[in-house]
Amino acid sequence: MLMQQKTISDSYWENLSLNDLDLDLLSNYLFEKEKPLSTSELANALIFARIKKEKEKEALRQSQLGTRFTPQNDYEEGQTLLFPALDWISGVVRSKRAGSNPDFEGFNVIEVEFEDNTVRSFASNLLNHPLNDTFSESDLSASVDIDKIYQKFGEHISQILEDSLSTSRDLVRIGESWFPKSLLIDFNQGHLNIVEAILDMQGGGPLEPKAILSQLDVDLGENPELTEFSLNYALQEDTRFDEVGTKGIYSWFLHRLEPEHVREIPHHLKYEPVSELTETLTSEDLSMLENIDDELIQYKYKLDTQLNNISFILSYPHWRIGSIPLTPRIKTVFPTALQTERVKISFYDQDDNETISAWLIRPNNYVYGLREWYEDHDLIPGSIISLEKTDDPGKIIIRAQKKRSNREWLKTILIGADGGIVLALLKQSVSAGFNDRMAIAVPDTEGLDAIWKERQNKQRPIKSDVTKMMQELSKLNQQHNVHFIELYAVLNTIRRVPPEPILQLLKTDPDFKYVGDQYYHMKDA
Amino acid sequence: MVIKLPSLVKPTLNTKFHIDFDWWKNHDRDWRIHMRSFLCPEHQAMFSDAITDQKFDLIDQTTAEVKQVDALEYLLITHCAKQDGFLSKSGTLVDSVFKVFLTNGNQPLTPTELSDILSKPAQTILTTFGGLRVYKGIRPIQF
Repeated sequence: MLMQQKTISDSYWENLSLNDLDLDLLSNYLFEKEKPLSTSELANALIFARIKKEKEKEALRQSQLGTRFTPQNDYEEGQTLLFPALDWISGVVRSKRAGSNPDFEGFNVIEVEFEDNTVRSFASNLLNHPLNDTFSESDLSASVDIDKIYQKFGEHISQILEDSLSTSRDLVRIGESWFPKSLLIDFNQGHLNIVEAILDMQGGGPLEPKAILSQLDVDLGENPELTEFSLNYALQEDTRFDEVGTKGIYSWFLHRLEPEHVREIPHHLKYEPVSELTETLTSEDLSMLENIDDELIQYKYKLDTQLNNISFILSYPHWRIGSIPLTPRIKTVFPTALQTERVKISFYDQDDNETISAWLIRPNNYVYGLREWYEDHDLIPGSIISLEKTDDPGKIIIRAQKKRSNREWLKTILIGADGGIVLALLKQSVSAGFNDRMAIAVPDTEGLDAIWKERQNKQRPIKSDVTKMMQELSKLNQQHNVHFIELYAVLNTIRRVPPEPILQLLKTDPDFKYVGDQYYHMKDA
Repeated sequence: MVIKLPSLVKPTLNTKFHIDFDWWKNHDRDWRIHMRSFLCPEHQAMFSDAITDQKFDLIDQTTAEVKQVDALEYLLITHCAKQDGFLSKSGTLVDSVFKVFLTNGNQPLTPTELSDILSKPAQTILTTFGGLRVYKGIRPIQF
């Protein structure tokens, strides 16, 4: 019988699912180590345990099929043997005689008959042979390398682990690390009240756990790492505190002292969905979407590379709030975090040698804190801004695209005494580079704010707004054609709407006609 | 009447070759005399007068499989073939390949593997031993 040597196939790891035994094992492992361990460390422990288990299963399977042949053992007639070095073929011992060799003494020669009736001779009772040292554990050992498995499947296994461990009531997680809840050092309500006072005195924070512990007068004991982990857990479980550090760095802030637009999404960035995109977009449409910096775009495009610096075009809502849209492309220059929803970061303006404190709001995909900087640099909706990574993931270099300050003809939003909106081409002073189609001058931001406020509880149908803005834009050129980007930009001066619902309306409503090159025409214009 | 022809598969660079000792018997060659020429000087002197018929169990170092060989073959494989200079690069290709099989206990090898050992072109080895003429019993293994 020819037996296939057992190996752990790729599909074993690809289809891995965790059972209660695995979870018990990992829990026991954490108890033994007595320190928080990362998901990747637990993934390695799991791989090791699974390999060991498979080895034991394989050894049992082989022992049931026959005795493994090793030269050091002696065998008797009629015994069934398995030959690992010969692709696990099995055969029956037919005879035995004394061996003859001047270099080895006292060994025997057994004749083994295989299934194909061939008879071959093997040395037995031979203590000095390399085969005695091979396959000492299990034959899986020769084909299994934990590091290689982790390299190939580590991300996948870590994801499965995170999904399973996060449902465990006995384990707690802080950032990347896990630990048994029952082994945590207790921080009581008194401690937490003192932490609140410490952060309050710092203007809310941020403070790293080491800095907090130094002021808490707590005995760090023999395991400072565990003390820090326990404090992080206690703060995480208390809604007064917000973890605002970048990936791998813990930093705490008082939730109530965070700016309003950090705690709640600003009205100018809130979007009430108006319609689902059901139309099939052309490749030109998709290419256009990839170049619009809007965090609400649903279309997921693929980024070819990780970028170190990017430029983006400011839209009216972000200009008004002082924020940056976090599109997949723009996100690449910002730090990541595992669980933290709000991350404290800073921008650095090299020209003015100025550092600007800001917040990265991950769930709602925007960065907040640049209103003053936009004002100081006389930026307008449509201005082009560059962002560049630094060695510190929490620090990003920011600069407005340079341009000699002069006066340009720009679309300008004028608000009448009755609250009506009129678009006109007027000469405006501009001091930074801008995108022609997205650029809009807004001389009366308070008037526009009033319109947003009025619309807050009474949103109009999107077709009504599109029609109004198409009429205004079509007056600005003799052909009365309106480019999609211009329409998108001006619509966002009166309501927050991403490009897709506008495209959906233009492509499906007979009142609008596509005239090519992303230009649309109103039928009765 | 159907005449059954032997199957002839053209050897490639990945075909395994070995010394076919049956070939020596069938061709009535006294291979012992030929083998004696490969012995080291010390053992050549020992076997100059007589050759013993005693058999030894030669044990494969990988599988522990046992092959019975006579004293001449045993000494050649376990001692003489392991001496420095046994696989000299100056010998003929046929002798060199023959010696390789003696040193490794006649474990089958491909022309590519032989090329790595002898630093001679694999294609030359294949052309020499893959043809109809058999040199010193070296031929593809038969399944």
